[in-house]
Order: sequence, then C-alpha cells, then structure tokens
Amino acid sequence: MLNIKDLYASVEGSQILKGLNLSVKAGEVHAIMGPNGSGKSTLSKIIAGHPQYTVDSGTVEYEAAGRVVNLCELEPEARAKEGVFLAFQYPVEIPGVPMSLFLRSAYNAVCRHHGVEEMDPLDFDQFLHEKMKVLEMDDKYIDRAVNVDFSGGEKKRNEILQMAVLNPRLAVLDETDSGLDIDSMKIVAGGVNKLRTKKNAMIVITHYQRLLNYIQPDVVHVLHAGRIIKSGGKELALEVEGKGYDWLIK
Amino acid sequence: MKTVFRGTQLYDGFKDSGVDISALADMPWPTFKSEEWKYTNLTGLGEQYFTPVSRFEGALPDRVKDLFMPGAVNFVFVNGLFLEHLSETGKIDPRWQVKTGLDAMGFAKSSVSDLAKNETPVFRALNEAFVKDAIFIGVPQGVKGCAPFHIIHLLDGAVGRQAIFPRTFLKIGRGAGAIFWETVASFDEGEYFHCPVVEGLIEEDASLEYIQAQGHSAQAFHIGSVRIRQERNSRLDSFVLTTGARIFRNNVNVVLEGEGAEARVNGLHALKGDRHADSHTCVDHAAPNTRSDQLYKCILQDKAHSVFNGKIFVRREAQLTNSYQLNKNLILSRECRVDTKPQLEINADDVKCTHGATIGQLNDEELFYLQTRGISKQEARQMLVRGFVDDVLNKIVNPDLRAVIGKMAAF
Repeated sequence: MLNIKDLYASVEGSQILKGLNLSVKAGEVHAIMGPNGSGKSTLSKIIAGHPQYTVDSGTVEYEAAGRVVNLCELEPEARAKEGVFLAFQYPVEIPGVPMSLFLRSAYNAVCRHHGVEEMDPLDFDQFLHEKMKVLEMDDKYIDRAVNVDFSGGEKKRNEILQMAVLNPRLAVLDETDSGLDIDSMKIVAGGVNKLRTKKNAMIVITHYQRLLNYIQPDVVHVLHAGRIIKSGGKELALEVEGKGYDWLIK
Repeated sequence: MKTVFRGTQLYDGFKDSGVDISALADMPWPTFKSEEWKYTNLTGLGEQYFTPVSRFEGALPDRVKDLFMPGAVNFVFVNGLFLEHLSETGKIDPRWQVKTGLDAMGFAKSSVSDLAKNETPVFRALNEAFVKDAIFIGVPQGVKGCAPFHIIHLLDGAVGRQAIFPRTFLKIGRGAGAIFWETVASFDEGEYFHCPVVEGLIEEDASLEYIQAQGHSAQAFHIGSVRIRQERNSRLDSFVLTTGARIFRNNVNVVLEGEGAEARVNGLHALKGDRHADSHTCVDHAAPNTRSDQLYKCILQDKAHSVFNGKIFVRREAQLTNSYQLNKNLILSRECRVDTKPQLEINADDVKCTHGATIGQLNDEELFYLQTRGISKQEARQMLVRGFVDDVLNKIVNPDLRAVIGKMAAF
C-alpha cells in the first residue's frame, strides 16, 4: 500500500530524513520507534503533506483504487480523500469551529470525492454518537469548538474519533500515547484496534513500548538520524525498552 | 489669540439652523495630535458640508420592512425622525413607558449624561445642540420577559448631505430585564453625518442585553456614543457590530457603580474595501466586586482600517474587581491596517485584570489540520473566518438576534 523509497526530506533548510525506506502492506501495523530528533514526526508530516516540510529526493508511493500515486504530488486534502490519515502529536485548536461542523464537513468531503451521497446533519449526529461511545466521549463535545478547552487526553481521543469517522486506509498515529494515562490509553488503543482490518494499514509512531502492548504491531522499526537502522518483530520493541537505543546506534 | 482649527467648515452648514453655534466654534476640533484621535483622521469630516436634518420627505423604500424583526416590537426612525405609521406602537407591553419626540427629551436629561466626560466635547455638544427627535423607553420595576425592542434607524443619503443627531434613553427598573437592539441601515451610498447618543440606566438587580448593528454607507461619517450606568448587581450584555464607514467611531462608556455589577462589552468590526471603524471602550469599575468582560474582534480585507482602544479604570474603592479584555484582529490582505491599544489604570490592590491584543493572518497550522481531514483549502479558509467571527457572535445571548447579526457580518 505504501512504499517509501530512498526519501530525503527537510524542514526549514535542515535535512532530517536521509535515505529512508519503508514498505507497508494492507492489513499490517508497523511501529516506528526512535530517539528524539530521529525524524519520526518529520516522516508523519511528509506523509500528510505539511507545507513547511519538503521532499528533497525519493518517492512516497501510495496505492489507491488500484493505481499507484506519488503522495508528494498531492495536496494534503487530496491525500486525505484517498484515505491517508494523520493523528497529530499536537492536535490543533480551532476556536469558533464546532466539532459537529468540522467532522461533518470532513466526512462529506470524502463522500463527494468517492461519489457517495453526503450524510445529512441528523443522520450524521447519530453516526457520530456511535463512534463517540466507543471512545467513551461525552456528547457535549459535539457542540464544542475543535480541541478548544480539551485536556491533553481528550485531544488524543478526538484524533482517534476523527480516524473512526473518516475510516482511512492508511493511518499514521504520531505519538498518540504521549500525555495519556493508562486508562485513556486503553480506551484509545481499543478504538484503534476496532478500526484495524485486513484492508487498511497503520503506522504507529511512539517513544515507548507501552502502547505496543495494546496495539500489537506486525513489524517494529527503529529510526535514527533520518533512516531506519533496524527492523524486526514486536520483540524488538521490548528489546529497545530494556536496552535503550545505544546498542543499535553505534 | 484665537486659534483657528482646521476642519470647522463643518459648521458652515449649521449657521442657518437658528441654533447658536458660537460656543461650538470655540471648542477644539480634534486632530491626530490628540491621543483619542490618533488613528482616526477627522480632517475629512471637518471639511464637509452637512445641514442638520429638520424633516423627512419622500417615499420610504419597501425594503425597510425587511429589517423588521419578527417577534420584536419594531420602531422606525428615518434620518433621526420617528415614523409613527411604520412603527409597531400597538405591540408595546402596556407596562412599558415609551415616549418619542419632545416628550422623550425631558426624560432623556438623565443622570447618565455625565459619563460623557470621557468623550470629545465637540460631538457631545453637537448632539445636544441639534437633537431633533428622541426616544425614551422605561421598563418598570420587576418587568421582564417581554419581546425585544428593536429600533430601525434608516439613513437616507439620497435626501442629501444631512447631519443627524438621534438620542435614545433606556431605563431598566429594579429587578427588570429587557432586550434592546438598534439597527442602523443605509440603502444607498449617500453621504451623511450620523452622531447619535444612547444613554442607559440599569437599576439594582436589573439586566439589559443591548445590541447595535451598524450598517452604514461607505461614504458615511458616524461618531456615536453609548453611555451606561449600572447599579448594584445589575448586568449588561452589550454587542456592537459594524461594517464600518468612511469614518466610523463608536464610544462605549460603562460605569459599574454598584457592588456586584457585571458588564459584558463585546463587538465585531467586519470591514471590507477602504472602510474604517474605530471603537473606544471605557469600563469604569467604581464599586467593589464588579466584573467586566470585553471581547472585540476585527476582521479586515482590502484596504480596511480598524482601530480599537479599550480602557479599564479600577478605582481605589473597587476591590475584588475582575476585569478581562481582549482584542483580536484577523487580517486577510496585505493592505489593511490595524491599530490597537488596550489600557489599564488600576488604583485598587486586590483585583484581577488581564488584557491583550493579537493581530494575525489565518493560521497555517489550523489550515493544514483541516486539510488533512479532506477539507479543501478554500473551504478551510471559509471555516476559519467563520469560526473567528462566530467566536464573538456566540457572546450574543438571544439566539434570534445572534442569527440576524451573523447574516449582517457575513464575510
């Protein structure tokens, strides 16, 4: 589904990714671990299409509807419509824009793209209500402005709610576990696991092995200095947890 | 030696009115050297020729009916003069006291007038000298839950270069509550000078929601004042929307005179073209345990110019004051201009006061976030603009009024 080849990418003039290769198939969950500054968040921003991050060379091939596109050539919204989703490490607050309007607009934009009929507000509220129940989110959030006055944990839950609404083919979860207490993490992981199918794929970026107890990865990668230096099964995460990164870096 | 002030050609048109203007002519005409007028240039106004309105002739556009608000008591003034046949006098709650014309002037000489001391004397004097019609509305003790009272001020520039000096006085009796709103509308791009004064007294335990929707011609000059005095435990929710004018200046002066009084002073400038709008607010905490909240938002495109000057006074006796003020500006073009000046003057030691001002463009991170959810850049921009505006519109308590104001503020 996703094939990143020899990717070099920069932000504000400094090169962060230096020859990254990653291949993800439908049905797989890949975990990416790595020390601070290794390029984890840059990778997520590049996949989502953040305008301040530039691809210097290499390609990000993505297979959608039977054809392969270079994601880098698409606007962020076009990527989203093709089923690419980023759960933000730091979700953005948007004063004055109510959650209900935001989520419905997003859902209907994707519907229009696929030629599917849009959902009217009443049906959408019901649809949303079901999704929120899974994440144990109160209905009162529907009327609040997007992420405004949400606690850290609520913001992360809201990311997974958006993922549940948009039902992406490829989801990148950027440190979704940071700032979550153990109960919230179980709820968030439960929500993510519900969305896991044979047809979609996930990339879970995390500092800690902890989250991977709840979202079991098929493959674990260690990212360092802009490239993947080690890949393995889920036991690699445990090894990193126990020994740190030093043994891999030298 | 007598100083000759620039800009007093304005008085030429007032000479034949029969009103003695010699005192006026001696008052200084404000220039940019005055702190109060630093960012709003009155030279243009001073060079205009206007005549004080005396009567209204001619046909009213049918469109005035479109401004009527269902469920409210609608009153119509044209160029500052009351039009009884268009006004819904029969819908007034019989307990309310409503007077117009010279009758109302008697009531309008109020205890609130002295709040004008913060204002520029010449405009106060002009209104006092040339006011031709007025309205007094008294809500008696304990009366609440009545329909909103809506005054439509239609400004007909086609009549030709009129100077208009309306006067409104509101008295909300003890424990009473009322919703009062004024719509200012101009159906053409005519030139006129609008200089209204609104005074309100909110007695003990009473509440007032006061809304102004100022929709002027692009050629208009508007210099207006709102003065409100609040007694113990009273509450004010005020909101001023303006789409600007050639020169638009609005002063909102509130004094919290009784313990426990609360004021919410909010506003929105929605400016396009080369329109200008200047809001000066002044909240005076004169008693302990008083509270004020101010949010003024300004959205600008093209070559528009917005000015905000917000003052908070906390007097020595006003301990335990809570005061909050924020001015947020969203600029959508490179050529627009914003001047903002929050001011605090605190003389008590046990108070909580914050203020701030921001000026920014649409936030790139917010745009990106919306785009990553499949929302196009254009739709995302509209959503953020709408969100910026709605954030302050949500301060309007009455949902029907909020919807009407929202339409007027469409950007």
